[in-house]
Amino acid sequence: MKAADFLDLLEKKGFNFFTGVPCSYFTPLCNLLAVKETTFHIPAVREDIALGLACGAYLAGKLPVVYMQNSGIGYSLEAFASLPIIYRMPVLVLTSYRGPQDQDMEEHLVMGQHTEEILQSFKIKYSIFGKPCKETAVVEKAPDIQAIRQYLLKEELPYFLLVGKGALT
Amino acid sequence: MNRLQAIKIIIDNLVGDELIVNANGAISRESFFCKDRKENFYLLGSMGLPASVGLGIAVTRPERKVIILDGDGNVLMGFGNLALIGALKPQNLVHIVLDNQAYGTTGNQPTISSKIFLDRIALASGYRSSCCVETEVELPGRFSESLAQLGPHFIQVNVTREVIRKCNRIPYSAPQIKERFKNCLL
Repeated sequence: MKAADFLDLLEKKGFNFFTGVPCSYFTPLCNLLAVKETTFHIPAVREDIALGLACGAYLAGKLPVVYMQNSGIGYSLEAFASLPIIYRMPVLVLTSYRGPQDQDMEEHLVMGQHTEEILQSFKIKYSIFGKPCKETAVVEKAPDIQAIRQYLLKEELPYFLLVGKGALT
Repeated sequence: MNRLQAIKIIIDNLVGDELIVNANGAISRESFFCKDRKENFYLLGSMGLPASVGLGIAVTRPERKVIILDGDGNVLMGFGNLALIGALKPQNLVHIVLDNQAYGTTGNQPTISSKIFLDRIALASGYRSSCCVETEVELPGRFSESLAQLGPHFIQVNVTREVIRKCNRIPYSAPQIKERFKNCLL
């Protein structure tokens, strides 16, 4: 899917605050966010800080999106536990699903193997967008942003979209 | 001055409906004890993130004054926040750090803030003003000045570790804290 179409889709569905830390899987999206003046975007310095910004923006009336590499889940898990999960704040988290598709990159292997388990153990709802990462994984061709939005607003909890390599071009 | 006295001075010198993000632990509890306000957001945990939440509010609602009531331990843990605030320069933000050089809530274990200059770091990061307040006499003036002028401002308030009164936990649930705060921003 074209990053521009994906961003349009998110904005049409009311997502209006973007923050995060880049991943090479998100290069087309990050490049767009960097230049698109009509989009509210703050490049953050850490993933937990990005989540704090997003939660502040939500309190002030925005519907936020946080983007990060799955390595950032490690940095921000406690922030998820102590902010949006207990206060109940909707945050869409775009996370690159590094690891399974980066077999030659050791640094992504451990987090990649456990990304879904971590989300499951925190009872965080997620879906996968892009190439299959595990044989058992459910793969969506294009994410149903409307359904995700409904979930976020109804449950007031974070939702993760795990984005595979090449899903956004 | 001790921390509770500093918080009381700040609350007594508010102009009106300023939004306050209160750091987790003793700062939230003492702020609640001094004066509970619907414009107060209390962090129950999220060590290191009061400034992130405050910054997210400030950039979203530039017409509202936002005060971050932070501690030295929190600032040290979320050090990147200083850089981000300095880079974005939200004019409506006042960042107050109650510096007791200790992790007060967990039993006053020392932090490293006695060995560094937080106010100078804030200034080097790009805050529009930064100062270090030592006495009760200076604090009201410095605070009121910061509220009146374009920020972001950094006010390091040196406080003692003395606890004159142990304040209770916030009696609201996290969703209750959120709802009330969110409603005053509608």
